[in-house]
Amino acid sequence: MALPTTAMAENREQHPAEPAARDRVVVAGLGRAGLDYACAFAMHSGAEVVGFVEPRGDLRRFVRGVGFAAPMEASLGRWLEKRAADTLIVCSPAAEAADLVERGVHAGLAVLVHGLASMPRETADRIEAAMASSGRPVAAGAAVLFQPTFARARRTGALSAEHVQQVRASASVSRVFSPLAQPSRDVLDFLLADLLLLLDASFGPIVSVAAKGQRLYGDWLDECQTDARFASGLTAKVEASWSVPDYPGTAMVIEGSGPEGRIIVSDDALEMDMASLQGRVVAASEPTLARFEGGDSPTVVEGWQRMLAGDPVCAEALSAARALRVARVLDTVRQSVAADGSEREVVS
Amino acid sequence: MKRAPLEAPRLVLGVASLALPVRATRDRQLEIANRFEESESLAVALVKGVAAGAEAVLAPPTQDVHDALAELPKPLPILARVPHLWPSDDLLWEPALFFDPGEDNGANGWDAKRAGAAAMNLLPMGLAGDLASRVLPRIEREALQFNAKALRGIVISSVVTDLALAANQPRFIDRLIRFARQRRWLVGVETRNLGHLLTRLGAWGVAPDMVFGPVNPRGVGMMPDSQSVLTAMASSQIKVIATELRAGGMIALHEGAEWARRHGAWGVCAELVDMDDVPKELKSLVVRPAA
Repeated sequence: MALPTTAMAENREQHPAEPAARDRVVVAGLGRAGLDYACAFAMHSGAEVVGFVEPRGDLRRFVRGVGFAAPMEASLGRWLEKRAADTLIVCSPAAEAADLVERGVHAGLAVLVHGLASMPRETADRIEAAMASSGRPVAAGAAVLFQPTFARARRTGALSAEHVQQVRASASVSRVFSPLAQPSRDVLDFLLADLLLLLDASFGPIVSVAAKGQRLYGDWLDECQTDARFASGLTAKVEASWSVPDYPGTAMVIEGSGPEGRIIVSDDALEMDMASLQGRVVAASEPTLARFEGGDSPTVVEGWQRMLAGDPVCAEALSAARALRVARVLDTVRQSVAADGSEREVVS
Repeated sequence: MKRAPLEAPRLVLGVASLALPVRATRDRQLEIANRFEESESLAVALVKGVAAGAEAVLAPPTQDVHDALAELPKPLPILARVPHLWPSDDLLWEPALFFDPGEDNGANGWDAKRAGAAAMNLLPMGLAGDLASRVLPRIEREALQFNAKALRGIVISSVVTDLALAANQPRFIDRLIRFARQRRWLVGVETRNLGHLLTRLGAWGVAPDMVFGPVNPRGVGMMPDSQSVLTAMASSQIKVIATELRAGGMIALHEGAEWARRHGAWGVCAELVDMDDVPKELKSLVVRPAA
């Protein structure tokens, strides 16, 4: 059998050595995201899924029926009464997430929260307080921060306040006609939160927003246009829409320009045309962190394992502090939309 | 007349890229979706593709595909890619496969007529929650939407396969194989984790007729990594139909197909999104018997 070509070897991500002891993981919340995380951890040689927590009996039965045999309980408290774990993965609805994080931190577990950036402000505040009291690793999982073209753009420094003075960002997907759209799932938490995470990771904290939103087919927001001002003084025009036809998957684009030139990065490709930074790469040519494919979680899971091993880049991508900042920005965007687009300071 | 046993195809035309996000640029996907917007256009591409040498069309049970096939006077050989899961389902909190869109009329979520008489040995979902009982009625229902004369077999979509893989469920694959063979269908499984799956299938001792998974010279989509996939292919007896031949558009189709075959792939699956001239490019991938 032939060895991989040079091209293939270049595409391959170098994986670190496995830790001596496997990370014992409990997944709380067995919705779509929770099951994705369970699969990714189950396929990771550095981790072991030792349990599940889910108050809904039908979801527990579903996951049991799929074949996951680890012990399940309706509450984390009951689970922890009988067993031990190292890590708690919180994939529950926001209404349950704060209780879980508080309980997990109290029990001395490392905690990773999925979807923290789109949680309501009150929940984010409680989670922040709980995390502040933790002596173990805490993190927020968002696959978008491991997306390879955006990650490379940040790594090169091209997508930073040092190199650009004007920024436009957009996120589009086709979901508006879905009968599943509802007030608890609108374009802000489905789409805008991820884009704001990318912007925060690239340009730093957003300090004020002025936003307008449109409700096209129901009582929830389908489109949103935001003028965002960063702490650095940089401003950005940010658009999110799920009323774009023929986009089955999410499309994100950030364009920046400054005296040095221009950068455009999307989930397809990165193009840099700057005095000091030139080049074009496509997403497929970038190495991936993941060792398993399925849903959004495998890169986050690999990032978490690397963070536990001391990888600072992965720790930065999983920053809970950033996700909490974005949750507050999102809350401020909603306030601004409700106030017909008036500028609002993001209160930390 | 006794039907001859079916063999895994060497060359497959895939049309899933019309309905699902694939590893190609968005512009390219939109271009292809636009090109085949009319059912006649898709029908012509399919019939020319088969005439050029594709031994089967790997097709999801979408309305676009059904409309195109309905344009044709003769059935084309179909491998039904089932169950079909819509990208927009990601708005649901519940996991994929938790709901079955076809089971909303039954008293307890079970409609025996739609599930098919052959599925009657399966318990209602509400009572028997294992993956096979949950998925097989849907697979049968969606597969039977295709013309029975056209249907050569089923290919289980990667969402289901990779769930069974992660949950370490050989029983699911085993039941799937028995289910398909009772109907004289070829049975394939699609995966996005080819190295993991081939290794597990060997350990489980179960063998579908074929496995569809990414194989290309750049290692794109080859999980857990390219070397592990090649090693697993070399040591497995299971026929691999290579997908993602163009490595997300980075290499030419014929180059990817040739490389995959040279590294042990039984067959190759070229997606519509991979081709500009479907018959010409498929023809170039046909394996000619040695003189």
